[in-house]
Amino acid sequence: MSRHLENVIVKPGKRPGKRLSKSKVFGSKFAKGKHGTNIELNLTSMIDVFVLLVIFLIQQFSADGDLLFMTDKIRMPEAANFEQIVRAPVVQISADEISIEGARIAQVADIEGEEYWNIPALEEKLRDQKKAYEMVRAGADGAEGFKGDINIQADKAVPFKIVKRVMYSANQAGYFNINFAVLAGGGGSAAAADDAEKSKG
Amino acid sequence: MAGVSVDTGGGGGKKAVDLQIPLVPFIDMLAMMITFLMMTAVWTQIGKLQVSQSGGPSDSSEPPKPTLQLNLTLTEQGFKLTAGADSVDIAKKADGTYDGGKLVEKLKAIKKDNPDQRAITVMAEDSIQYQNLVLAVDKCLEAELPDVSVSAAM
Repeated sequence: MSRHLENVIVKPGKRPGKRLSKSKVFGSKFAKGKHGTNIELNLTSMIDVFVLLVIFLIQQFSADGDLLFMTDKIRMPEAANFEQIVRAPVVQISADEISIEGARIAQVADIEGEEYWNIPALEEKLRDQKKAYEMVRAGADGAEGFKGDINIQADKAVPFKIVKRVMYSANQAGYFNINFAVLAGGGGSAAAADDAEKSKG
Repeated sequence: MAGVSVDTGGGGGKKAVDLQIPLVPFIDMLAMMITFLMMTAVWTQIGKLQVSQSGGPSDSSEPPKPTLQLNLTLTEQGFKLTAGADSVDIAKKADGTYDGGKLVEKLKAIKKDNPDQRAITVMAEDSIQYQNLVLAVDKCLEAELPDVSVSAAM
């Protein structure tokens, strides 16, 4: 008798229809009892991702650091047959100005109309840098002599007229090893990268 | 505490044989490494093309062997390659860019005939863009002519 009544008399409240109570999506909304609150964090896959990230970043790692000041005003040209860049005074030539080690030397518009080849302010600054290098390195043990290296970091659209004058000024100041800073690219960079590695070693 | 339980077997013994590998310090170390490497990562690979200015001192100790006078002139029309008395013009491509592929072919042919040839002088007009000068120097280096001098076109 009582069992019969249990089936007929139900507790008031929301309850699903027979079909809905069996649904995987909605059935749980009417489920009785509490869910377990312990969540097992899946650490294995997270550690896998971390390890892969570390390996990728170690491959990218370079102990040389940034030798050039990268700026959006200078879009460097690409080349495939490059060598490893070395620390040397950096002359930057953008469409508007010429600067050395980040300090502005001259406006391109001002020097464009001048007749003579050299840029006096640049030449003077380079001479000062050469003198400072020689003074600092003169007393150092195993010091190498002044090699006359200079890096030119120019925008790819700068006309040769400006580059020529910078090169001439560097030459007058005693910097004969002129290096054009370039970005890796232009096809065949793998071979060039190998060369760069060799020169590094 | 996060950890990985490793069941080492040995069912019949009295001592518990479950081993807990502590993962938290390991994750900490990985997170620190990722932070450090992200901060120090260099995303652009920068290189140099070494040139000398025409007339500057040579850094090699041995005297240069007598070789061909090789000049490459960049003009608004294209490349002009002069090897001794011979001269060849390489016109720009249809899209207005310089034909680096053809230049390398010509330079390699000259290099094949003159294996001792190392020097080349690249001359450019004032209006030539720096990227085209870099292209010319790059192609000279590709053709195994490492002693590149740059000068202004007369």
